[in-house]
Amino acid sequence: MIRRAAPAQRTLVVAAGVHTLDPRTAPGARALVLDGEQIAWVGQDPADAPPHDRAVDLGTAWVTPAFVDAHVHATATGLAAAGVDLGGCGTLAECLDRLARHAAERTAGVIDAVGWDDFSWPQDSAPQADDLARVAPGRTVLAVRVDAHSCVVDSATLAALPLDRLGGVDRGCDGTPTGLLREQASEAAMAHVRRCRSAAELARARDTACRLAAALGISALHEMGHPGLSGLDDALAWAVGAWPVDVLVWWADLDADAAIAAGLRPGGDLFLDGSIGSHTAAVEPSYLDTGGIGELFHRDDDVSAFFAACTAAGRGGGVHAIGERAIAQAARALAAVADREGDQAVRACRHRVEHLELPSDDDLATLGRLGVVASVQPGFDAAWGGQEQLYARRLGPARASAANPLADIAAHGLPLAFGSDSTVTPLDPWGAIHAAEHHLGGRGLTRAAALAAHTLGGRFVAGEDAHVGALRAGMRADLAVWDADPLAVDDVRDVACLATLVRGRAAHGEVAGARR
Amino acid sequence: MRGVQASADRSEPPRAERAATQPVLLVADRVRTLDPDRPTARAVCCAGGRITWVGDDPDDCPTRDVRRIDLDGAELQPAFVDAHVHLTVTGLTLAGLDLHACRTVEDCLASVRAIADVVPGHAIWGGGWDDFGWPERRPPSAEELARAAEGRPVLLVRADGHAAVIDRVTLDAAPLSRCDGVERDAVGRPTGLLRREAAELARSWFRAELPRTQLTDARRTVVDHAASLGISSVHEMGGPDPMGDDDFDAWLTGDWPVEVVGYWSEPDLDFVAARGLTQVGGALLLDGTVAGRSAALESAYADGVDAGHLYQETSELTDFLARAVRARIQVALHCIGDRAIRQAVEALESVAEVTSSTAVRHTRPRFEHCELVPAALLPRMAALGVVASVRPSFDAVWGGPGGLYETRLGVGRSAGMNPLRALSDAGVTLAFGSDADVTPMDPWAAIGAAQRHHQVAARLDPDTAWRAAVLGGRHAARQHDAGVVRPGQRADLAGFAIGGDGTPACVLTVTRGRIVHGEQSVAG
Repeated sequence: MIRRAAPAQRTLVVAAGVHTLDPRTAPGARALVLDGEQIAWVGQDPADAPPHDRAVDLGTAWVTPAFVDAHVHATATGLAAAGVDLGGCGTLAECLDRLARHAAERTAGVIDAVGWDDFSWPQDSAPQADDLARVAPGRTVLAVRVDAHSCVVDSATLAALPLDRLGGVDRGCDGTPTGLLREQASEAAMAHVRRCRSAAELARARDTACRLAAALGISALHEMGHPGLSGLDDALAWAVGAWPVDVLVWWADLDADAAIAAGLRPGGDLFLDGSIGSHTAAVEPSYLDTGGIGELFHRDDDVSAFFAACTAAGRGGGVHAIGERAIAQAARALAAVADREGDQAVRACRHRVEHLELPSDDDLATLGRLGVVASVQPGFDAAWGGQEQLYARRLGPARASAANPLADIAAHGLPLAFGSDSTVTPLDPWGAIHAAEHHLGGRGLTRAAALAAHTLGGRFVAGEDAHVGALRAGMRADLAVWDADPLAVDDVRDVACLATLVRGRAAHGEVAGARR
Repeated sequence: MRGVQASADRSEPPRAERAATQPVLLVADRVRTLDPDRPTARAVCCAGGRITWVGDDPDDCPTRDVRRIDLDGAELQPAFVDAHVHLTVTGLTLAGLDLHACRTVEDCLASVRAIADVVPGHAIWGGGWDDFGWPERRPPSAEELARAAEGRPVLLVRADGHAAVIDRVTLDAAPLSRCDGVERDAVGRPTGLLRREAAELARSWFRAELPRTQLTDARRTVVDHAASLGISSVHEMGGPDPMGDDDFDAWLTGDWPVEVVGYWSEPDLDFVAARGLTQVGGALLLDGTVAGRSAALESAYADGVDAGHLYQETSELTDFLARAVRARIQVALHCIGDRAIRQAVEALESVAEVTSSTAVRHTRPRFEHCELVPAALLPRMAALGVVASVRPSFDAVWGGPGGLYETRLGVGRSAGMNPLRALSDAGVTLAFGSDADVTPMDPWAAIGAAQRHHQVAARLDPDTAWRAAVLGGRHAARQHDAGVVRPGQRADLAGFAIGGDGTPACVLTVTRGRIVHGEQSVAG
């Protein structure tokens, strides 16, 4: 018997409308009854509602399932909120100016800077260690490039790193490191800076990230824990802590069994390649502007063994694959497992591929057949897609249009889960949905499909869709309240979050009568 | 050995999936999509077994080299699912003798005589008779059948599938002497009417007597029939009785024009694991039927002395369910009476306590038939994520004043049978099925029966009923990539002629992108 400790208050909530996203029920719902953590009833006419203790009229507000951000670096998100955002700086000088002002305001601790993007700056003008020492003398500075695959650090931090043993160290004409670090070196720098932070600073950052999410109508985060970016301590802190929003933690280790043994979900941001911005995504054909083809970080056998271990454990594993060659490697690895274990065994796990930016039709067909979930970031297209931004410069106009092809991914039967990859793009669900609606290459989705991908998609890939997601009796009360009908307004980015419920509890705003 | 063979078969997809089909562009007067963002459209493109494009103007379709099919005067929709069928038996009946229309013993015997005259062959298999309301108040006797069939073996299954009559020769030959359920006359001689164990044994024994070609024909007949009704997926409720594991494996490994999702009735997780299935049960009986007074009730039958009985020990049932939930295997339980439904709910709640309610919900437990549902159990069923796999046609056949339900249960209780509206309102997903050959496969009839339920309070609105016939079965089979007309979903579609009287005629059925009924069918 399922028994509850105490009789929960049952609250009837009446709104202007409820988008249940449940295809089994006819549209037109506008009322629901909340019973503790659960939804007890959803219907069209409040008069039909079962007995309840109180009623709340939300007036003109609308209700939808709460968002899931299926790909975040949550601690970094919280740290960045307390740091300085260099996004939008048009020149290096502007960037350094902003850093200097922030350093003057914040007189202690690590200076976290995110979002610098030298793409539109005059060439060879990425910040250097010397620049940082000048604007923030004596301080520890970590300035992460917008794609999070490169960073610049101050001279003291640079000196503390074993640079000779690291790949990705940028050097000047005379062979001395400039301070710009890519991939492996960038991860080493982040790990070093992480050790400089206090536990209290990290705890504050985590709390901040949860509050930011809840305020945007997000009730669950998929934390992409990574040995190089955030470290195991951080992943475990997220996994064992109690947070106002749900936090599910993936761990990007090629040893899937180790992740599972640690109570984490296997893989996630397990890099098969790098990023387009850093020229490290494994593309085919080559980058137009450098002639390189990026790199595959792992051997086929190892990737296949990873998915085999996940499948044997019945767990969904994830890999980060952006370039054509990395996506092909993921598809090959999964197909190899399916050859041995059967398609159904693979499908049942709901494996995921992160980013999936430059997929071929053949690979999409394979991934679709194997039930792989596309964990995608529509914000990437808005930031770098189209004919005039980074993708076009790196890849040419045709491939730029075909990058992040949401419509093609969906048409091949891959379920979609939307995320931000914050801090790469900000936590901003409606921004992502807007970007999906207005894909710069014409490969977008309808708003309703995008809404489903940002609410139900994350539940599906986590294997939670049976108990949380669509708004239906018996499902968990995770929902968001909006000031307008998000499917009816002209620009969905205008919709404001009035409240977010997680397990029937208000994590943001309030619904009178909901649990506090 | 069988397991090895089955997995070898699985590694190679059936021919239906392998066939490289040319992309098809279907253009109809209207497409009902079930996609909230685009409730209606006019054209759908299918390639590689999936829907790749949905739109209003066929000229906007980005796919080249498509075969365009215009369905003038027709409406396209996601194909139907029949979530509970006994395929081979239905096929035998379709290819054999359908007795649903018989109103007297003499009607029934005339049908046997007619088929014995015109169809050469060995055994006569019939089904669908229902002596409730016949003037004789009994089915044909063993002697009558032997005379009508002129010595050929005859087996006629009752409409509810839980009783059968056989001819005198077969009755004497079959090893029934120690079976439970053999009806006897005043002097102790079997009459030919068999129930329970005896009915099942007779069917198994009779089936073994059927020539292989008769079974093959029956299988082909029934799936072609399903496709002709706009059904693209059926849930086969197999088991040792009456058809056995050979028949079940034939369904799992064959190449059929409709998808066959197999449920095996025995509580045997190894059996299903060897076949790569993640579901079990179906005809896993917690109780019997109302007609047979064997459904387990909480108080006695109005026209009987006892209250039916539970077939399973609660502790054993709970153990089995717990093992299934831990293995993430879905279980479908046959439960009809209020006592059986309560047993199912309480067993699942016990499992939720030792695993978690989330783990139980994730397996999506199914209650087959789920007829006499106590109102107090509804929220508990919703909390467990139970799918009610229901038969709206049962109410049409046995509900209402003077009907079988009222006779067996009395006016008060019979009003609570098949409470479709209450189940739906409580958040319990409804999946429609026919239980063919108990009632005929006929999705539109099920939708109509749900709207015209004898109890006004139990009626569904047309939209909810239609969703239960289209999407309910997809949910019940834990399929998330079929049931909506949207890019990426499986290309399982059905076209129906608009207008006209009665059941809309199916003009086209597509299963995984393959046309299996209608326009240039390639099913054969």
